[in-house]
Formats: sequence, structure tokens, C-alpha cells
Amino acid sequence: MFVEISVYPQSNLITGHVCDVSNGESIPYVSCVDITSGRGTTTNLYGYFSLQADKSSRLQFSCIGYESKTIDSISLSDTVVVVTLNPTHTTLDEVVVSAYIPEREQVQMGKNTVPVEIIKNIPSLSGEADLIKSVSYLPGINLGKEGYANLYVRGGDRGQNLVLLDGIKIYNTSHVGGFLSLFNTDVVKHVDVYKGGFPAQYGGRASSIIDVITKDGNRERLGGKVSLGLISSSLFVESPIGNKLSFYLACRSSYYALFQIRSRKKINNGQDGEYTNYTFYDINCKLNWRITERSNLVLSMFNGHDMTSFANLYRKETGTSNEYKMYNKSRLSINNKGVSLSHLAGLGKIFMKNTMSFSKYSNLYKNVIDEIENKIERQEENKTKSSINDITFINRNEISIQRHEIKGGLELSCYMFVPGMTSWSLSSDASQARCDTLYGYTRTNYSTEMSVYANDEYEINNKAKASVGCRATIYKCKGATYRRIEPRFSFRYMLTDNLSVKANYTMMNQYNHVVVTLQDEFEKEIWLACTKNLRPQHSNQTSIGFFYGNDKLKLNVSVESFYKTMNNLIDYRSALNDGEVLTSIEESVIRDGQGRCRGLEFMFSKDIKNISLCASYTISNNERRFSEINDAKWYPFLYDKKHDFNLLATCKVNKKWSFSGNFALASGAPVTLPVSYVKRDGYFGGYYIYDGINNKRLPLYHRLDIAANYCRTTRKGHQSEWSLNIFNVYAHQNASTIYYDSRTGKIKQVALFSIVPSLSYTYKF
Amino acid sequence: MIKSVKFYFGVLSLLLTACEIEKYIDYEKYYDGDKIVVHAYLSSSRGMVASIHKTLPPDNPNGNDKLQDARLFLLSGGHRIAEATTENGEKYIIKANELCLSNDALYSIEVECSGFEVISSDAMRLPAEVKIDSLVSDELFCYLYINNPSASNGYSLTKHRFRHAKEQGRSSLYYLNPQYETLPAGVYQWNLATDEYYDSICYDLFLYSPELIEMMDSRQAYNDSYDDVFAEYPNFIKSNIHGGYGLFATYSVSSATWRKYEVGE
Repeated sequence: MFVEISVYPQSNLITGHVCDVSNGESIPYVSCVDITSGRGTTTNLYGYFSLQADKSSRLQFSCIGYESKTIDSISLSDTVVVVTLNPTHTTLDEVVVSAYIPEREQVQMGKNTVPVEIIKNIPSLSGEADLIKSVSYLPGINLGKEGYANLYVRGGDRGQNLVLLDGIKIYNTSHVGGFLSLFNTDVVKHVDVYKGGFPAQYGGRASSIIDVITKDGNRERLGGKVSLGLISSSLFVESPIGNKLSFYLACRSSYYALFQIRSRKKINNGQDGEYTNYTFYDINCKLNWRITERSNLVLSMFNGHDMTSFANLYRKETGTSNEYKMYNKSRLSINNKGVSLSHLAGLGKIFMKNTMSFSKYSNLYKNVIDEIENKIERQEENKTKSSINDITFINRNEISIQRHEIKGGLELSCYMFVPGMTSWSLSSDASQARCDTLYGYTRTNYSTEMSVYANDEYEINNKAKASVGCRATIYKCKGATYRRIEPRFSFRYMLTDNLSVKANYTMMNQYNHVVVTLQDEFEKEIWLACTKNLRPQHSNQTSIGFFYGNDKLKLNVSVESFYKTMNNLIDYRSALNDGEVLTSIEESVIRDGQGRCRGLEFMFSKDIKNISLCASYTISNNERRFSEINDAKWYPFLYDKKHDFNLLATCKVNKKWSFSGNFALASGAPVTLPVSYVKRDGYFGGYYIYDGINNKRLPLYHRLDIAANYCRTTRKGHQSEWSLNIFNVYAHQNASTIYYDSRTGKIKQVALFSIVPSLSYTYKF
Repeated sequence: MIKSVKFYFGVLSLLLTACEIEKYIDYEKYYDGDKIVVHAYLSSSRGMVASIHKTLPPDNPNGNDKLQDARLFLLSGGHRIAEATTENGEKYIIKANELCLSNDALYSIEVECSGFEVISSDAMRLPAEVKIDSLVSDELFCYLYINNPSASNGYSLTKHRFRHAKEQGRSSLYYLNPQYETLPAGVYQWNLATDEYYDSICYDLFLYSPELIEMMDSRQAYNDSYDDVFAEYPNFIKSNIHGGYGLFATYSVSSATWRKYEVGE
């Protein structure tokens, strides 16, 4: 570890930047303590810190995964000092970072830092490390349907999570129609998950924040890895460029399309046939320029693409010169793009970060039917498009003064929405017509969101610490301007050295709504701006909890209870799926919904030699109410899990072998079943009668996944790793839904997955 | 080697993409008991037609839903004014000439059956009278003239085809939901070439009460969501019957008939 320090003798303020010796990566959340006075701080997300210290004091820097380093403050001159520390265990370029300040001592609650090791080692459905799925071992988080990578946090909906990738807002977080998350874990350096107690610098979503920071790129040498998996393969390269620049490039692509080459060739050659194709890829790229020892310029780019297509060709000879030919092709493309440019600087006491980012999410469905009959050609084309464009500027400032850690800044976002544009065209040899069928919400909408925030984390005394913040936002959209003030408050009190009690209250507003619809079995999201009648979603969350930690025993236990209310929720109007003609955005959704969720979360983690155990349990009650659904009565939310238990274990047997296992046990999700049947109504036939939405539960859910990793060092000193994943080891068929079979009257269960083994290979250089 | 790699990925892809499994399971069933189901439709020109049955447990959709001794009453202003008659214990009717209905009065129904509580409906008025002003035809087309449709109700136009005085089938030409569109006054024209086989065609122009529109819409939404087992939740069919299920709705109807050998009528 390098510790670069500059000293201001007049004020005894020490500022610096902490990074890893092996690859030059900055290290977040390193503890920096003045041993003499007991005062301390941590580096921020980007490895910067500032600390008020006496001249004669000794400073200790420590972080899990690295050897501690102690420096005499008096020895520090007014030049930059570089201190070299080695990581305690080196797993070749892997950055292993955990918050050193124990959870019990942090004022923040509802926040979890997910170690990259866990993300990489947790068993998964396809053997692909999955960031979004891996956070589901935390209490209060579930993924919705089995196999999907959608996040539902403390009763919130999937569109209520602010997902940031190097400051870029990601509007759709999945590949493969929701089965795989968009994040290539090769580039991930640090992940913070906020379920509650949101700091004032975050806003714009009602339920959670997932802040992902990617690597800086190796500053010491060229390195990388190649991975081959069941679904996709990936390449990751990182390297320094000169003394001040570093970069990484990561690409990942699926290869299901390779199996369809023959079918495609057949159709392209004019033969009858059909094919279904699916492909995705993503590219991450980052360029990091260390301008001076205290400032960085970072360019980060991201591009994710999914495409599914279906085509068939039918030909029929109807006579000597007559031929009928029909070529039908449909394609759904989903695109996520983003770029951010950040300037990070330590200016004396102040750390400043300015980020300019652009993000775009779009989906396009296109269907073309080409018919030739008696040499007359007729072509019909249908297109549906939806997109959101976002340009955001963020200014963040941090300063430490005595016992205060003050943060403040502003955020300005400009949005452009195309919620849904449908066009239809028909052309033939005889006539030509073109029509843009606008189903009401097709016009482009613009909106702006401007926020300012301030937050003060104040150490009242050795035992008590408080964080008080406020975020004020003005959101301007067509026909309305919304002004909202969001107070944020957190408090911690140390009952003993090992035990603390914490409480917090946060208010959040979400101005951009999302609804999800299906297109050819693939989920696509439609983002909508607020309007005069479609008001911002609003949530209030209160939580209280006890946190126990014993560093010697390597034991952490926590209990948190929370209560969250949500207003102005929206839901998709189901009849829309049948192409009902709409005349406005408001018609496409059911609005003014309410939500409430209360729960109790338990978390236990313990390290025993080379085995790490982590158990979490949540008991919660999550409900919704819409005036147009269920006779305006409260009903359980579709993804409400009353009981949810997860046990995660990892074991590193030796340098070569490591194992991990994950066991999930949960109440079945709510399901709506009828209470009686009407055989006939005189005109339309029979129908079922229901006494409410989500009135029953699916059978108990349980599943065990295991993974084994074999790692060996090659003669050249590189590492190769085989990884075997078995999802659902004992092949338990968990119900995705159940329904009455109208022929037999019996209840039928639909399960999506049985046992799924997978194998992957990684070569690191 | 390449073959074995292909085989491996082929098998694993299959595992991932084709693993939806359906099976019957034992699951605790719930039935909220037998209840009366009545569907009754009232108009001033055609009287009342109703069907009365009972509910069945959801796991026995093909069971016997007949009721033995149900009685259906039409009420006006809360007083019983007529009782429906039945021949088979399922279909109940009150002929139009037995009733003297008014557009201002509130009508409702009650059903009695031994072993069941008396069930009743919401009270409602008859919709305004509707009229096909005239029907004319030439050799190719049939024209309907409708001059003053009410915008606040739903309409449907139905065609009944007859040959040798026997109905051969019916089809709905228009269904207009007042929530989205209204029936404009004007001329409605149909090509007669496709109906050459028939002796006569009867056009019924229905004007539905809001309750009936609501029920029909909910029925459509129910059908849409029921076909999809992964729909988040089913849409419920509306009922305005208290103590049971079903619907009491009113409508008005105007008819006009085209006859093959009376072209130019």
C-alpha cells in the first residue's frame, strides 16, 4: 500500500491519498487513526482522506487485506511521502477491500459493502459471477422471480433502485431478459449497497442505492484475464500508459448465436426454415490520468447490448411462374450506454469531485413481413421504440473540520424521454402508404432535475455520533414543477465497545417512473417522466438497530427493524398488452398507489480459520394499495417474502482449492387463486371468482447451490482457474406460479429451473 | 475435441433454456361455499331474461351447478313487481307484455332459494330508448340510419342471419365502449354479397347500461389475464349482486330486418 501524505504544519492538517502497492489502485475506506489523540477518519470512495493531527502524533493506516502501517507525523515534511505496505495475502491482482471501520462504529445503518471476493465466489445459475444476484444474500433484499437479477429492496419495486457505475446512472441492469446482471465483475472494485439511511448526496430513487466503483487500471504492469463460461466469455486487460496514465478494457459476449449459424445461412440462401437468435455483449473501459498526486481525471465508458431475433421463411410454388414467398423477421434490441468524465481533487482540507455523465437506455422492437405473390411484393413493418437519455452534472465536496465531516454539493440532470413510439408502414408494388401510429404517449418529453445537498457527520462525544443532512430538489417537467425537501438523519450510540444502537430516518423522492412490459417473453422497461398528474414517488423510512462486533472472535451480529411507506406508486395497466389505444401517459399506468413495508433483519457473520459464514434472516410484511386494484384494499406485494433465510459459506482449503455454498429458504411468493367457480353466465361461459389479489402463497422455497474452484499457477507464474457451479444441487422444483388446470380442476405448478451445472475457465496473466 | 465441446455447450444450453417444468401438486384448496349466481338482463321491449345457478368449488369446474327451487323477483322502488317463470330451472324469463316499465323508475332483482340467503342486486334505471331510424338496401349494400345516439352509453350492433326462418348464426358488427369512443350519428353500410345465402338479416342495435359495459370490459380483461399463467394477477369480473355473484343489467334495443326479396324496401 502506498500512503501519499502532504502536511500543512500551520494547521496540522494532513491530507493524502491511499493506494495499493501492487497495482496502484486507490483504496476506499482505509482507516486512518491518530494513535496519540485517538482521532481518526477513513479514506473516501476514491482513496482520499484528510485528518487533523498533532505534530508529534503517530498515524496508523489499516484495512482488511493489507498490512497496517504506522507513521510518525513529525517525520512528515511538506513533501509527499510514499509508504509502501504489502497486502497480507496476494491473490494476483485481486483487490480485496472491506470497510475497516467496524459496522457497529459507523453512524450509517442500512449500508453494506459487498466484498468483491463474495461476488466472485458465490455460486450462481450459469457459473457467471453476478453482482446483482450476489447482493441478495443480504437481509432485506430479494431478486423477485427465481433466476432473475431484479432487485427488490425493503419492499421497494425494481425501478426504485439508483444503480451507479462510476457515477453513470444505469437504467436497466440486466442481460438475457433479466437472468444475468449487466455488470462485468472483472472490473468491479467496490460495491456499496444502501437499503436505508441514505446519505444526502444520493437521491432520485425511492428504495435503494447501489454504488459501483470500477478499478482504476493497473499502474504497475500489464495484466488481465480471459474467461470462458457457459453463457459468455470475457476478456479483461489493464495496463499503465507512461507514469501517469492507466486504463482497463473489459469485453464480454455470449455465443448462443454461433449455434444458429447454419439455420441463418439456410434462410439467407432462400430455403424454408426458421431460427431464433439471442446475443448480448458489454464493454467497459476506463482511462485514469493522475494529473498530480492530489488530483485525477477519470474517463469511464460502458456499452451493453442485448438482441433477440426470430425469423422464418416460407415458400410455395403455386404454378409454373407463380410463387408465394413469406419472410417474417422480428427483433428486439435493448441498449445501455454510458460515459462519465470525473475530476477528483484534494484541495487542502477539501476533497472535490466533479462528474459529467451521459446515460442512455433504449429498446427497439421491429417486425418485418415481406410477402411476394405472383411477383408482386408487399412489405409490412412494425416498430416500437422506447428510450431515456440522461445528462447529469454532479459536484461533490467533502471537508473534515474538528469533529465534523461535512459533505455538500449539487446535481443537475436533464432527461429526454421517448416512452413509446410505434410506427407502421406498408409498401407494395401497387400502392405505397406510410403511417406513424402514435399511441398517445409517443411524444418526446423533456425534464430537468436540480438538487443541492448538505450533510454533517458530527462526533458528539466518544460514544455518540450523528449525521444530519438535507437534500432539496426542483424537478421541472411538462405542465408541472415539483419542489421537494428531503431530510436525512442518523444517530449512533456505543453502548459498550462492542455493541452499539443506531437509528435513522430518511425521506426520498423519485421523479422518473418505470413500468415493465413483456415483448416476446423478454422484459423491457419503459421510463416515464413525472407529469402534472403523475406525481413523484415518495418514500419515508425509519429504522432502528443493534450492532455487535468482536474483532478478536471475527464475529458480527446485527438486528435492524425498519418501517417504510411509499406514495404515488404506479403499476402497468395490464390491458395495454393487447394493444389498446391510449391517449396519454396517465392512461398507460395505474397511479397514486401506496405501499408499506415493515420488517426485522438479522445478520450474522463469523470467520473460523479458513471458513467464512454469513447468515441472514428477514421477516417482513410488504403491501400495496391502488384505488383501481383489489377494490382499493391492501394486498401483499407480488414479491413479498414473509420469511427469508440465506446461509452463505466459503472455504479456502489451500492455495489450490476453494469451495462455496449458498442455501436459501423462504416463504413462497404471493399468488392469486380463485375461491369458487361460475360454470356459465348465460353468454360468455365460465369464470373463476377471487376474494382478493395475492390471497395465497406458493409452496415453501428452498435451494442449495455449490461451487468448487481449482486454481493453479502456471510455469510462467500466471494463474488458471477452473470453476464448477451447481445451481439447485438437489433439483428441487421451486414453484414460479401455480394455477387451477381448468380441464382437471387440479392445481398445477410451473417451475423454471431444476439442477443446472456449469463450468467455467479463467486464465489470468 | 470440437465435437465434445459443442456437445457440452449444447447440453448445458438446453438445460438453461428448456427447463420449464409443469406438474400437479397437492395444495390446500379453499372454497367459500355454495352461493347463488344470477345473470339477469332487463329491457322494456324484451322483458327480462336471466339464468340462475350456484357456484362450484374451483377444483370441480364440471360439477352440477343447478339449483332446484330458485325464485327470481323483479323489484321497483324496493317492492316486488313481478316473478320470473322457468321451465328448466336454469333460464328464467318475464315477458315484456307482463311488465310496465318506466325510464324513471329504479329496478333491482332478488333471488330466493331454500338453503341459501336471499340475494339482491343494486338498483338501476333503464337506459334511454335507442332507435334504428330506417334500413334500406339496394342490390349490393344495406344501409342503416341512426340519428340520435346517446354518447354516455355503450352500443353494440349485432347481425342475426336467417334462412328458412331459422337463425343460422350471429355476429357482432360494432362494440363501442363509451369510455373510449362514441357512436356517431350517420349511415352504416354493409356489403350484402357475403350474405347472399340467407333469406333475411336482422340488425339489433343495443344500448347498454354502464353496469353491463363495466362487466363486459372486466370480462375481456379477465380473459386476457387468464390466458397468461405468469400474469401478475388476474382481473376480476365485476358483480353487482349482494350475497352472491353475477350481474343485473339493463339495456334497450332497436331492431330492423332486411329481407332478400324486398330489395329497396
